[in-house]
Amino acid sequence: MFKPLQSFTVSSNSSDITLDNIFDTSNSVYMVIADSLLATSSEGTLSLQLINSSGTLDETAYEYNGYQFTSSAGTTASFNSTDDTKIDKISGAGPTDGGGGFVMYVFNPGQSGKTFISSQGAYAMNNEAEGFSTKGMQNTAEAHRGLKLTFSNNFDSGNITVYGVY
Amino acid sequence: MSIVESNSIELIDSAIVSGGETEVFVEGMTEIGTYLLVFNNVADTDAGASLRCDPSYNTNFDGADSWYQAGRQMKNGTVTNEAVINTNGNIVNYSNTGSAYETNGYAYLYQGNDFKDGVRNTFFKITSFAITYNDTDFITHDENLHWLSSFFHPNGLRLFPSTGAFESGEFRLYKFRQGS
Repeated sequence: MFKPLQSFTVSSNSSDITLDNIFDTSNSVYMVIADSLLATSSEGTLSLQLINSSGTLDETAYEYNGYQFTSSAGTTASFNSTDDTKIDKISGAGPTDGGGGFVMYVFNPGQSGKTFISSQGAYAMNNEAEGFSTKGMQNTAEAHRGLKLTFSNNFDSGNITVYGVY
Repeated sequence: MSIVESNSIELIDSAIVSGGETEVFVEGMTEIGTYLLVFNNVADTDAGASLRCDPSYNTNFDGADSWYQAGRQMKNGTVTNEAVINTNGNIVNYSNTGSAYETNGYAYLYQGNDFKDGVRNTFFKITSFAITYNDTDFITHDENLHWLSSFFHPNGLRLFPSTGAFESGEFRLYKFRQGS
């Protein structure tokens, strides 16, 4: 089943949101869904960092890759990074056209092994669609209890819900 | 306006690897509709083995090469395999093994039928997303599969490593209930 665990509202004029104490050993897989992510003025992208079981933000050892689709250019651009401070381009948001959202799976965050993340997101602005397919991991064998999403600009609004998959 | 039941995603089957299995089954896809397979901590005994699937019906499986596949594999950020069309039936084409290696992912499965030209065709399509890490390589997959057969009507999947045996893994099959 997919059990809704916690919902969060993105604060206006904030550049990040912390979803703490959402992971434990109750579930091995979690789903995070975001909708109506609007930017205050300029479009941007979302990055992710994990919070370990001690409450410390992990700022090292991220591996990720993915690709971004752009409708106006009809292009697909690959991106990747190793030993990074974050997983970038989870999704994005703009100030118009309903903003953006994503569906993200988080594998094994509450376990002492490595945490894996797979996300698909999209947003639109001025009738142009941007899509993301991103996969990453935090390459440290430790348990995590939460995550932080950072926007490259400021949020205006948005909703995020965390589900346990069991 | 249709009403969706509150319990709209239902767990219909699961397979937990205890170690040593060369195949596991998740079944119960008895209705036309959309299903979700979530898998985590999948590892097997042979380095370089692939996680694969066949259509199954009550653990009888059809191992015929009737899969058509297109997708993209990226290894350490570089596209290493793209737009492949073959008949391997891979959900993951590269899944190294051992306690330090693991694969996590999910797949949406679409089960349907039609009666085009008086022949009952089965639609069995999968779009899957997976991540494998083996302490050296970070490998990701987006794969799209279509199983082409007119007479065999699967109710699930046989999941197996291309070589060796599973060491660990959890597979859960969900059904999206439809509105009424």
